[in-house]
Amino acid sequence: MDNQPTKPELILTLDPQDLPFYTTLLQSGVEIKGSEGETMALFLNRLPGFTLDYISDVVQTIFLNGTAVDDLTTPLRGKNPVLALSAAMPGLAGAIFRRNSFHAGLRTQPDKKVSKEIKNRPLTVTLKLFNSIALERGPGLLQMGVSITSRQFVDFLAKRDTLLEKIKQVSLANSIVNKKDLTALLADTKKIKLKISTTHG
Amino acid sequence: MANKIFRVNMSTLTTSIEDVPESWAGHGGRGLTSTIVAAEVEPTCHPLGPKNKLVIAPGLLSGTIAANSGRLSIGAKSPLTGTIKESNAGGTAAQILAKAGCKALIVEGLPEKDGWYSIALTPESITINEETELPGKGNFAVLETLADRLEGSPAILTIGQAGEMKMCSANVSIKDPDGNLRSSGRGGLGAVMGSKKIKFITIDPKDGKVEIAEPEKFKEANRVFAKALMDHPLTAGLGQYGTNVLVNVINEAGSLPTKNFTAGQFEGHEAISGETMHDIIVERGGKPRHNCHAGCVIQCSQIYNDAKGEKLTAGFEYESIWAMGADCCVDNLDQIAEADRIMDDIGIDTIETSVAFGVAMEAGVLEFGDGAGICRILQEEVTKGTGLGRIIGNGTGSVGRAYGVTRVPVVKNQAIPAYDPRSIKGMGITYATSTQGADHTMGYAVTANILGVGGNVDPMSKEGQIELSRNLQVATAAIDSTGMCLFIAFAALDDEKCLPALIDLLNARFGIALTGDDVVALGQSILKTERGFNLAAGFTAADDRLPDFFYTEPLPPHNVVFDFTDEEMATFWDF
Repeated sequence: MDNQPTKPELILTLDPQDLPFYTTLLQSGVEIKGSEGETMALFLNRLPGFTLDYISDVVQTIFLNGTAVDDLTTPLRGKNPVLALSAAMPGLAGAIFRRNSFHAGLRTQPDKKVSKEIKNRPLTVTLKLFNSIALERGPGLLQMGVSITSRQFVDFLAKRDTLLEKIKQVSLANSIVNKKDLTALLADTKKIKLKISTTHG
Repeated sequence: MANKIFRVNMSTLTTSIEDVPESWAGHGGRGLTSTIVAAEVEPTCHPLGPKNKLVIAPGLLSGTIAANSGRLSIGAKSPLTGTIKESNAGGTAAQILAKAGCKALIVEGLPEKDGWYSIALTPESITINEETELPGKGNFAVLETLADRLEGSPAILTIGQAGEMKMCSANVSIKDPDGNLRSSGRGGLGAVMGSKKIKFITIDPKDGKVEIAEPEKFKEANRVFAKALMDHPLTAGLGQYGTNVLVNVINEAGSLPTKNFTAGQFEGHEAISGETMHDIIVERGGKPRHNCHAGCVIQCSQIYNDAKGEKLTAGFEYESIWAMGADCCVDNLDQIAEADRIMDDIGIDTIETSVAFGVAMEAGVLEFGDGAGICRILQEEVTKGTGLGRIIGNGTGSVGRAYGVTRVPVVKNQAIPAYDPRSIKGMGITYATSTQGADHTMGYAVTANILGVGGNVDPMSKEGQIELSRNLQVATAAIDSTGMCLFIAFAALDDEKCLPALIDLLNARFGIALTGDDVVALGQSILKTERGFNLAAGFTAADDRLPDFFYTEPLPPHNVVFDFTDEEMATFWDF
C-alpha cells in the first residue's frame, strides 16, 4: 500500500485482545497512497474490510477536507486530501452531517473553489477513522501496515502507559529493540510504517 | 392512583394537594411546566422574587416501564434569560414523582424569615421542614447525609452553594440510580429554588404505581419501541463512547468552537475525544456505559475514574467536555473531569460556566489552557461566592459585561453550546429562535420528516432551512412532554415502527387515541405558549438573533459567517 523505502518499519507484536486499543491511533489519521480522480468508494474499497456494502451502510458520516460528503463517487482531489470516516452520529449536528440526510439542508456550505481538472496523478490521502469505524476496520489496517508520523505514535503511547507494557515484541527496521527505548529511537524519525501482528500466549 | 397537583407556598409555609385542572390533564413534562408557568407566573416579574414559581413535572410516560421515559422537567421564569424555561434531566425523580401520584409540584412565594427548608413529598402528604445541617454544603454532601438520615431510596432534588447564592448558572441536581448526580442545568433554575430557600426536596412513592389504561397494549407497544431503540446503530455507538463521540466529528467539520469561539478546530481534540475517553475509562476500571435513569436502554452515561482508579465524575457529556476543553483550550481530560466534578458539587451548569471561563480567559483573568486555574477558581472563588466567583457564577454574559469583552457567545444571555452556528447554520437558527436562549436540545428531535410536517419547501433555501428548524423544535417540544430522552429521536427517524409505537404507548397509558397530527399540534401549542410568555415579558423578534461577531468574524478553517437576516429569522414564527 505504501512502499516508500525511507520509512522504517515498526512492527509491534501483541496479544490479540490488546489490538483494539491501538485503533484509537487512527483518529489522528494515517497516510495511504491513492490516485487523483479516484472515487472515495473505490479508494476505500481497496482497504481491508471496506466492502462496498460496509462503505454504503455503516460509514454514515464522511468528511472530505472538512466538508460533509453525500456522494461516494466524489473524486479525490488535491495534493493531500483528508478523508474522515465515522458511523452515524447523535444529535442534530450528527443528523445534519449524516450522508444523504433529510437535514442536510441545515449545513453551511463553504465557498470552496475546486479545480475541475483531474490529472490522474498519485496522491497521498490522510485517512482518519473515528469511533466504531476505527474499532471495526482499524485492526485490518494496522495488521496491513500504515504510514504515520512518529510523533503521533509516541504521543499516543505517552498517554497510555499500560499499552506499552503489554507489547510483547518490538521490531524497528528489522531489528528487535527494547520497548522502553522506543521513544528515544524514534526521536529523529519523522515517519514510520506501523504494522501490528498478534500472537496468543 | 389519581394524579394530583402538589402545591407549596413558601410565603405562608403551607401546602396543598389539588385536583388537576382539566386544561392541564393532557400535558406532561415540558408541556405542563410551560403551561403552568404561563398561566400562573406574571411574565414581567423578577425571576428571584415572590411572584416566580418553580414547577416540577414528570413526563406523560414517566413511572411506567416504557424504555427511556425517566426525564424530569423543571420550569420557571429563568433568572439567566428572563424567558420562560424548561430544563430536563434524568435521575430517579421523574419515575418516583409519577409513582407518588404527582402530576406537578408547584413551589411559590418566598419565606419571610431567614433560614433554609426542605420539602418532603409522599402520595398522601407534602410537608415543609426547617433545615439547618445542610445549607452551605455541596450536593455530594447532601446525598451522603440524606442517605444516612432517610429510609429507603427516595428521589432527591438538591441545590449546591451556587443555588443558595442565587447564581444565574445554578442548576437543580437530581440523584441517579447509583447515587450520582444528574443536572437540570440550563437557565439558573437552581437559583429560583435557592430564592425560595429550599435546599432539597425528597420524594417517597411508598407503594404507589402508575395506572395503565390498557396494560397489554402498553406492554406490546413498549416491546416494539424498546426493540427499535436497541437495534439502532446509534444506540451501540452512544453506549460505547457516550455523547463525547462527537468531538472528533464536529472538529473535523470545523464546527468545534475553540478559544472562545475564535476557531472551529481544536489542536488538542484527540486528547479529549470520545475515543480517547473510552480507552481511559476502560484502562482505569471505570464504566464506559451507564444509565442515568432506570429503564434506559441506550446508556450513554459513564463513570470516569481518576488515575488511581477512584471515581472522579459521572455523566461526562460532550457539551461539558467541549466547553471546558476546546473553548477554554484545556487538552487534559483529567482536569476537565475534575472541573466537572466540582461543578456538579457546587451545583452549577457546566456549559454556562465553562463558556463563561472562555470569555474570562479572553479578558485575561487566566490563560487559555489553564485547567488547573479553572479548578482553583471554581473551588476558591465560585464556591465561596467571592466577587470573581459571582461574576463567573452568573454566567457568560455576566463575565462579558464585567470585563468589557464583546465576543460573548450568548443568545438571550444564555451561552451557546458546542456547535458553532457559523459552520452549522441549522444550529444557529435553533439558537436564535429558541424560546429559552441558546440551547442545542431545543431542536434536537430529528423526527420532522416522519411526522410529516417538514420538507414542503426546498430545504436548501433559507425559507426551507427555517421551516426545517421550526419543525425540529415542534417535534422536540412534543417529545419533551413525554418524559422520553431525546435520544429516542434517532431511532424514531430511522425505524418506521418506532414513532407509532411511542404514540401507542401514550394511547395505551391513558386510553386515548392520539395521532401523529395530535403530536405535531401539541408541539406547536407548547412553542406558542412559551413564545406568548416571552412576548408578554418584553421580548421581541429583535431578540431572536445571534451576537454580532457571528455575522462579521469568519470562522476558520472554512472562513464562514452566519448569514440569516433578522427579517428572515422573524419568519420562524409564521405558523
